[in-house]
Amino acid sequence: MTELPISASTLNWTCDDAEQELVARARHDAGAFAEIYRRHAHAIGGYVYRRVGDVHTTDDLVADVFLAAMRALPRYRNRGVPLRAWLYRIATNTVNRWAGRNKWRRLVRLEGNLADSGLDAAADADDPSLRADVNAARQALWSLSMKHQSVLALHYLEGLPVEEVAVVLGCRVGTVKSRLSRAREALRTKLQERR
Amino acid sequence: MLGKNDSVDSALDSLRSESWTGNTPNRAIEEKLMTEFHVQRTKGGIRRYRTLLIALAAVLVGSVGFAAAGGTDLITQWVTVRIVGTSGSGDDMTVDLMLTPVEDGTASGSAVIQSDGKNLALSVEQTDDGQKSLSVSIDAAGAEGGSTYEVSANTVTLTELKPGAASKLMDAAGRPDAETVKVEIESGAAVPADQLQGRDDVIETEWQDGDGVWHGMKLVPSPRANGRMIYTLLREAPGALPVLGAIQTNAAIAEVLDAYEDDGTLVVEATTADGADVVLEVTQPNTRSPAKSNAASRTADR
Repeated sequence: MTELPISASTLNWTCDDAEQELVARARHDAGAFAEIYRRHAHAIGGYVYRRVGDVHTTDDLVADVFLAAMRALPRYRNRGVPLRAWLYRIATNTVNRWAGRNKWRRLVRLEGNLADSGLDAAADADDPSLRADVNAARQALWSLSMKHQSVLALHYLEGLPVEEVAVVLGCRVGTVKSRLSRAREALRTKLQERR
Repeated sequence: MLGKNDSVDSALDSLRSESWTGNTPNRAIEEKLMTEFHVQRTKGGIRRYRTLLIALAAVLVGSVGFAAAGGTDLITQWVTVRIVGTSGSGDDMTVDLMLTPVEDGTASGSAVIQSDGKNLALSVEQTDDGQKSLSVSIDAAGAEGGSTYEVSANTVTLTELKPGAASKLMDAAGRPDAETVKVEIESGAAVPADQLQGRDDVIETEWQDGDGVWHGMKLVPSPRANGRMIYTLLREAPGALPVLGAIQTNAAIAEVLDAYEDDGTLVVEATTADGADVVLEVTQPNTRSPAKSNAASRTADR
């Protein structure tokens, strides 16, 4: 067995009593669970959207994430790790499963008519060159393994420190760092192949 | 981090620039969650009750082994009791559960399972004349009380469980009901002598697959001389109780916190008896034999 050097005390995230009290209530109180959804919907939605690049798919997957969280909430334990990390983990698994099932459909869609891709919520939808950059980047990202996609998205797109990424992915900090390095190189190769 | 003009950073910057402009919180999603919440809480209560009852009585047993040393029941065989048919109201129901043994060799226990909005309570009792009686109570959702049906399983005895044994649904007066319920008692593989375990040693938990479907799972320990524990993972299913794989730990597992499938890997998060958190992975969850599984485990001190 390998000891993981991660503990709540090493994280910047706070796991306050109020949040844990909300989690406890949400096991039995629909209103409390709705509050969890409202607090985290934007962060989780943003993460999912930056992974899948489609507004409608994001809505569906965000619903799946919180439904999965609802089902798993009775087994959620306070181990000093904030609820947000737990939700990011569920979101990562949800997106990865969706990506695995839709890999070829996604690639074909981007290769084809970009106007149908649902990317109208991009930062600057009126700028064709920016749109092309985003789509090229996304296509390269999608061609990576799920582990590489996940670690890149959590760290670079969501801005989570490696310690927090390690908590979300359930692995060691060292593993996250090495995986990030390999993922960057893999992404670089894919970007070069597409030029 | 590489330079500002690095192609990787440029690509990541462009993706990061995409801001989520969806409706959050989304009213439709929130309503969907609230609807599902009430469904799940109802199921959850039933599931916990079922888990508790089954954990108390565990799973068992063709012939109940009563160990001479220590006087503890040992699991000698896995069997599944299954009811297939229609309830008195004509609704389809399928109930999968485990037969429960007691120390004197009779079976007694109950489980509550929800099926199509119905609460089904089942008990297995040994009658005075040595025959076994299965009782099924069906409480229709929204209806007061409920109907109780007696399911006779006289062709099956505790020590001679026969796969596929069937019986007709009986009404309260002992008359066969027009709507029959088939009771199947399926024998699984016998437990090897060196892997016999008491019912209290079996850990009951659930596992969520890649499609979000929950499955019952049991962790059956096999202590080893060097102090390491090997747990065989069994998936609850009619009949055979397929082996999902095997995992090793340094200390006995006290509680499973979560179990889910991640990219083809079955991940089990648990705590050990000495308080440590462990993350256990079975990389080939469909392996039939634990000896062939490619299992790995690691400990997370989180």
